[in-house]
Order: sequence, then C-alpha cells, then structure tokens
Amino acid sequence: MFVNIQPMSLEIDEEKFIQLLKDKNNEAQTLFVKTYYSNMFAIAHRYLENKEDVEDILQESFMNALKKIDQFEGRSSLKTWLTTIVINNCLMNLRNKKNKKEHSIEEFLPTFDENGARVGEPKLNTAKSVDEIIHDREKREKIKEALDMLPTHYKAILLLRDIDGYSVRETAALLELSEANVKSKLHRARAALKKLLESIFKE
Amino acid sequence: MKKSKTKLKDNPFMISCKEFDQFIIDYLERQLPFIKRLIFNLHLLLCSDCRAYIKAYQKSIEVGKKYYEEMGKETREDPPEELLEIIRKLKD
Repeated sequence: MFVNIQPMSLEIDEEKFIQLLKDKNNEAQTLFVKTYYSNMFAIAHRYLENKEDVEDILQESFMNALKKIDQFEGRSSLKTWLTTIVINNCLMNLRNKKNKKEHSIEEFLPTFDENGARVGEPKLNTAKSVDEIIHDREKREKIKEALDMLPTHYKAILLLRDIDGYSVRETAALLELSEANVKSKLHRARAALKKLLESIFKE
Repeated sequence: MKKSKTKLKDNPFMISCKEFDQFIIDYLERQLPFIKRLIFNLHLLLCSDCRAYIKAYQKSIEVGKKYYEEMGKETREDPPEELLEIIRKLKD
C-alpha cells in the first residue's frame, strides 16, 4: 500500500502517523527515522563523545522504538517518547563502559574556611549576555572543554535536568538513584561547571 | 561572608556561606520551606560573595543550555544508509 506522508503531516497528524507505525507501515517507519535522526543524534552526542557510539545507540534506539510502538500510549509526544528511549540507551552505554580516566569532581567544588566563609572565589564579570558569549568562537571552545572535563556521571545528571529538562524525580528514575542523591550530584555538577567556566567570565 | 562571624553564628537566622551552599539546589528547585527561604534570602542580602557566586552559578547553567541548543541547531546528520536498509527490510 502506498501512503503519501509528507514530513509536515507528521506534526499535524501525529495520531494518524502513530497508527501507521503500529500497523508496521514501512514507509511510515522510514519517515520516522528520517524525521527524527538528526535531532536524536544531537541529543545522544551530548552524552556520548564518540560518533560511532552515537550511531550504534541510534540504530538500537530506533529499532527499540519501532518494536515497542504498540506500548506507546500517547501520554507524551512521539518525539519525547523516542528521546527517552535514546537517553536511556545512552545511559546504559555509559554504565557499561569502562571508566576513562576522569577528573574528580572535588577538584572543582567551592571551598570554605573554618568559619564556613567562601574562599578563593575570583571576581567574575557575568554582565555579558549568554548570546554574546556563545557567539564568541574562543569562548565557545572553552565551554566545550569545560563540559568535556566534567566527570561523565555528573555530566549526565546535568544534561538530564538542565539541558533535556527532566525533573529531579524523572532524572532519579532514569538513573535509578534517590532524589536526594540526584539533587546533591546535580548541585556538585553545576558548581563544577561554574568553576570550569570561570575563565569565560574573567575576560 | 566574612564580617562579624562570631556574632552571626549565634543568630538562628544567620547561616554561613557553606550552609548557604547546601540550600542552593532546593532554592532553585523551589523546594525550600518558607523559613529556610527567608534565611537563604537574608544571607544573600548580606553576603556579596554568595550573591556573586549564585549569579555565576546560574549564568553557567544558562551558558551550558545555550551551548547545547546551538550545537543541536548545527547538527545535520542523515540516517546512515545501513540503518535505512534495516528499516526497509523490517517485517511484521
């Protein structure tokens, strides 16, 4: 059966499109992959540095999604549902990977004196807009370096909560951690990021 | 918060920068109970170091978000032919 589905109709008639996926319509399945691949690539690449790993994870994720499409109940958009599958697979990949030599998060945490007062905090200029910072090529390179220096596990928590927008509860569920643990680690990850980004606020 | 440390320590509404630091996450998640929020804000009002710290802390999160947002916009990856071939061969 030939079904003419234009990419735009995916947004408009998602319900119909999902039904075609549930019916195992091959054109719809191909369109599903073509439509979301680039977006999912960008998301997976935040978690996994290696491009080949990203491609493997995406292949696995799209196959998982198409196999499990009957379980999709429409409580979120198709894209959100697929994103969760991709991120879950990325997290599984990170868990199974032998840890590369990483910095300790302690290196980047704030320090306090015996009275609990902050010490060693440099004067920073945070007046520049985020847009200005991002469009400065040199600063952008430093941001990349800073993010790459974060220990993997902490970076994943930061990505889930601050970038991909999962709540603390959802992040805890995805990582199989307690909410208290997620909050503590999230704070450390953010504090470390702040420390690592100090150089871009100094100029 | 360097001034009058000993005097401040005796006041139940005064906290150290270290204690303030432990409140940050709940403050940003809007999960600080009223009294703690009051204590947090009071410290923020009095401590320029913590004001500067939290400003940079929040700005760093914004920068990180924007960085990935821009990266996402620039990513143009087509699905590999190998994957499309697997999909085309899928059967019920």
